[in-house]
Amino acid sequence: MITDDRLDQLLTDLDPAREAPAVVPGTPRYERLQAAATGRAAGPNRSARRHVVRRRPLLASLAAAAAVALIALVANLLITPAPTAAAVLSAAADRLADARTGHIESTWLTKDGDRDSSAVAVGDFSGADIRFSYTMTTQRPTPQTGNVVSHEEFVAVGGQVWVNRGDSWQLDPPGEPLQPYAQASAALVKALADGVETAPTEDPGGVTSYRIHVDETARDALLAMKPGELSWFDMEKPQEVSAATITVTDGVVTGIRVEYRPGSRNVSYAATISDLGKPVTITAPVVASATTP
Amino acid sequence: MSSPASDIDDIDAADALVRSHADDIWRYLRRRAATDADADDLAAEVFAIAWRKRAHRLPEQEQRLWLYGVARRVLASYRRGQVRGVRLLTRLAPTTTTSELPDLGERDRVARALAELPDLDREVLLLRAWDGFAVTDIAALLDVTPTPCRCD
Repeated sequence: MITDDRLDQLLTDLDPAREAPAVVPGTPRYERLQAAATGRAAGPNRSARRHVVRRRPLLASLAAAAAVALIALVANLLITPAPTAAAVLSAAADRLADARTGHIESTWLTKDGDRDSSAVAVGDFSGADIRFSYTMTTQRPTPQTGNVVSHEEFVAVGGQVWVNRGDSWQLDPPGEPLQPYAQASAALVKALADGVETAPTEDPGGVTSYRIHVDETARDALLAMKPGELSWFDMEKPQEVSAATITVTDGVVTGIRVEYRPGSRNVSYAATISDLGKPVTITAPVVASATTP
Repeated sequence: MSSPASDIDDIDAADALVRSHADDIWRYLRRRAATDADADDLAAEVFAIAWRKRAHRLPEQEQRLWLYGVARRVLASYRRGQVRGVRLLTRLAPTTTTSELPDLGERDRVARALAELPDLDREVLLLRAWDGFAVTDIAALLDVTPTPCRCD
């Protein structure tokens, strides 16, 4: 039997915040909250950046826009540039967004200290509908216990999501709506497109690779993406993205590789997109209805 | 249109608001979010909303509950975002499941019992044990009558 005092102590021990340092003046955490609480800029996060944009003075914005327009006009008069790598990538992303159907193979590799994990997702999309089969492999704490391997099926049809984590399908509760995969991928590429850091490389098969340096501008563009777009890449925190590589085949985006660091982990995500336009049929799974005795 | 003086007053009052409640609000969110970074983002969202709604102009005795109410809604939105999609990274984290944990004794049993409680019961218990709320404040925050909140 546990006494009330002992229970209080045990609950205190379980408090996830018990060892966190106090949020007091002078600490970075406090400074960030103070900035948010007084309408000032507050670091690289979605809400704070929205706030800053909203408060930008109108006249300053108009003056900046006029200056940019003038510079663009003069530049256009002086030179007729070839399409930039960013423009080529953007056009390739638009073609991907236009694809009605396609096949996807994605992998996530994560490294946390000396422990590795991976996930492989194979699936197809048709418009906003999609199906994925996931295989996840996680290292156990000790080599003796081996790895944990789990499988999951995921289907989204007509805005509803079903997940099968074992032997039956479950309808997922309503949440942040998922955006069509092809359009989400296109949005991701466009967000990154301005960061092309070197000349693209082309292999003998006609696949062109663009290496992207993810700077503040690209992170801002990533932050502006909808959560339902980012969720396909498991990037709820785009400010953690450090680098990316986009591959283009026949003028369409066919590969996306993104590297990011959530917390102490290094994650590498890679997706290949193929069979664009080939017929795909995706149907809602049959969910066993509850029976009454 | 606000005068410069009232702007300064607003900023001073907002500073006081964050000084009084930053630690409590951050801990409340950290106890319910997955990571420190998530709690940082959520707390910043709460205080950004507080600024937009001019929460610092509320009577002092109402500010705390008001902030917790916003924190609760921000947290609910964060959880809805987590439910959708596959959240692979969360699941790929090299963690052990509850059933794999060795029996650590009383603390382990309490953790398991806590995990098995209905959501509302667990929240009542934790608002009391972790966040130090009075029964009447728990009732107000959860929008229930004080009776189901009596856990002492």
